[in-house]
Amino acid sequence: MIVPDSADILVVGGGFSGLMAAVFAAREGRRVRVLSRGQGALAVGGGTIDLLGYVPGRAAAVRAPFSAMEALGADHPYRLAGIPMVRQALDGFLQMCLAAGYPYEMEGGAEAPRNRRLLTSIGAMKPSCAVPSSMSMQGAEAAEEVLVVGIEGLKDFFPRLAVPGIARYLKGNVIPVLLRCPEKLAPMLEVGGKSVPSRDVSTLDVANMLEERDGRAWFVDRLRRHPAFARLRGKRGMILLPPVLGTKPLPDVQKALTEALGCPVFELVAPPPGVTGLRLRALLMAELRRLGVDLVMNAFVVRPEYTPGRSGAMHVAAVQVESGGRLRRCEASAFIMATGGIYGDGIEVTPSAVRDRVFGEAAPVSSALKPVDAGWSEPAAYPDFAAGYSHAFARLGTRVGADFRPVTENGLVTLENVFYAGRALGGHDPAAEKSGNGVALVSAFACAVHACRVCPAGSAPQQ
Amino acid sequence: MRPIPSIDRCTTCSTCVTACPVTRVTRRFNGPKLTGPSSQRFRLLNRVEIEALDYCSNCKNCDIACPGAVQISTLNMLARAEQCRRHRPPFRDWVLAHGRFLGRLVSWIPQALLRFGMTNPLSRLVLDWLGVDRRAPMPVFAAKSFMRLFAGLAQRPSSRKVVLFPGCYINDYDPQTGLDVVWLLNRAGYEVIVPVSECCGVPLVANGFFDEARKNAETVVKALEAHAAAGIPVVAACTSCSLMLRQEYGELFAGLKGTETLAPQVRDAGEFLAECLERGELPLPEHVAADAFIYHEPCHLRAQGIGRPGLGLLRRCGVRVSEAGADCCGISGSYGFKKGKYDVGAAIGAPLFASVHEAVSKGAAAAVSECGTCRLQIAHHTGARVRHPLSVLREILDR
Repeated sequence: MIVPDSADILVVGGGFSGLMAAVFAAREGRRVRVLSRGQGALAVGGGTIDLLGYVPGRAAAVRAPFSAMEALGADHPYRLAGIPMVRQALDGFLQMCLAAGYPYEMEGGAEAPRNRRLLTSIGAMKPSCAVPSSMSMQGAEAAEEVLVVGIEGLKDFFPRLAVPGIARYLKGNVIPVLLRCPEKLAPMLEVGGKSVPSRDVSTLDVANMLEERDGRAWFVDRLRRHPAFARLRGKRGMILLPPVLGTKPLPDVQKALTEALGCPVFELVAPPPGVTGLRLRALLMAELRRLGVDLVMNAFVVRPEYTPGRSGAMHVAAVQVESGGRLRRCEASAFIMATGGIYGDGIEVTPSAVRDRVFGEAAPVSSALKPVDAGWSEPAAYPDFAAGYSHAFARLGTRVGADFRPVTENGLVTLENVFYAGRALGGHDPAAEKSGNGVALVSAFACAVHACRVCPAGSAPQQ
Repeated sequence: MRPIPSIDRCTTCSTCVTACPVTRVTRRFNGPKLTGPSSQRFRLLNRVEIEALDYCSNCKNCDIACPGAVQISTLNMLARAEQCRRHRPPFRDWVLAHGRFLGRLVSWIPQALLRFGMTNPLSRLVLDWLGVDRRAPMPVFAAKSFMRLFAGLAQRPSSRKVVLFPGCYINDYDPQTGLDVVWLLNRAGYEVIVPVSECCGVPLVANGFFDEARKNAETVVKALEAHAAAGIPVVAACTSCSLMLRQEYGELFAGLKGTETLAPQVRDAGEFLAECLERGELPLPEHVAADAFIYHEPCHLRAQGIGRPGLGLLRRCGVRVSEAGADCCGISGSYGFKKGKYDVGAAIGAPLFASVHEAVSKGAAAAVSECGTCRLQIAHHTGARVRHPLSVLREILDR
């Protein structure tokens, strides 16, 4: 009759890796609870699955990520997981999105994925792998006339700035179009004889507007009346927008605009709020509810409670969680740590040390970077930066073995039922490699698989 | 008690903006990032306050979303307090902040005249003149306050004691929920003490009556402190009350004595009963035949970092409860009552109301939610019956 407040698997962290780990584990029939402080970077990011865009030391963008993975260090999360697991993770993700009615597209499929080029709001190119259909730019090679459309007052998106860069990647004519800001978004003010929007406008604001029928009608009408729109007549045209095609994980807004404008409409990559990431988060939240995952927001994990484990490793029985000035215990059979890196607060950096915020020394942080007496700013702290490799600071994170449990320098497992996913992991540099969400997804899958092995379904009492 | 982290922890990442229900529906609000930490930098220079501050509903979704633990809504409430010290808030806000005052008057009025509350035509006219939206779902005063009903209860004395903090909503408008909680606490073997019926001060803070809110806080802490010091848990069934008692007193009222003693003893009533269940004090049946429900998680429960204990208790009895998955109902205490805010509140809650409609059409008997004004808002916009999850739990155990 007495039911302890426990889960089979406790996920710490509610960013992309934490939520995906929860989905994968719950699909295996485990009772999963997620503890999250803050909602991670997912909602403000681009939500694209950048698998592996660059290999450190090589200038050219990667075309075939699987073969490029061979060039990564042995401690890289992809090398630890192995290609079959990378494939399963990608496949699981694509199937989930498809079933949710918001498909992601990936060239070559999970068997042999190939990278694609995403264009950004400053006209740069970013190699990515699985992207929402709204970003797929299908038929871009054949487009003769391409309009890059912005709205006056919209932050961080200036068509004239983006066009020269975008033109380098497309065959057709690329033309900037700037629409007047609608009163609905920001009433205009007269300042020094000039009419300017009275407030800031973000991609999220435009996305909210385009979700409404009126907002779409305004947009279609203005764009159709713009002189540049006439260029599309009788030609194969394409319209590129910042990420503004609605906030819900549905293809509806893209479909409606494509129909109303008579040519395909796609989204570019933009700085936060990325909107496409917000859609992915909404999709994941619905999936978690469907799977009965218990998501606890604003929960701050303070410290673990240990019991002796087998073969010298420690066993974690529970974590202590702080809320409202009180500590509570959360028990579980396995723990997946998706606590983020330095920015996400999973890893603490002081002038003389780097440590895991929850487990400290018990989950050793790997790095080629040695704290030196004089501190982090000394060149001696960065042995391989000069050799053209990416910055060692960026690769700093928890050192794990092949089953994603933390290990010592000699490869001995330190915590027998704790697994690490996402940015907390050492051995990868998401910014330089363009591998952030890819590593998050693959490590989330690997953690779920290995965590399920240490806690068979039904081992904890049902809630 | 955590200190308010410096605004410099804000990296302007915009996460709060993606989580803000008000930003989602109106362009009149500049969003939590600009209104909170960004404006705070100008406030430190004593610059004029931005008008949009008025649009923050203090729902706390920004704080919950922030990866840097910046307490954005608290910055907004402190700024509102400062603004209201300089410019008196409208009398409308005084009335909404002092629902308790009217409640006290009404508690002595005979039964027949009870509709005097805030819902009769005369009150409506006055409220309209004051700036309360005519369509607003004003609550109806209960015939007898919780305190009067509680005084008439016979409890079995027990060495295990628990303090119940009813708050103004349960005391004035919804005493039955309070009685249900008392029944459950008794059932778990606890004798219930109710030392104070004062309002915790949430509506005063939200409407800018900051100094007065502090006085309320002093009264409440003074009445509860000795019990907390003796290790007696303090429970509240309204989530805004428990959030205020355990967290916001420390954040808003610097130097308020006794908050450190009180805070660690405060629990949401569902949270406490879940602990009783774990200790074996509250045996629950496992597969009861009961109606289906749809659950709405109040923002101020989410902010407490304890998950959804009320939902968990019902599900452990085998009750089928789906989750609405909505961010906010849009009422935020008295926010959604005001002219100019009623439509904002209605738009915020629209996805929730749609989920409730759908659940009811599929056979759900009622919606359940811990927060009194959430229940009011959902009932007003959907016509559905809305109950406290613990009232449903009592009904299951009391058959």
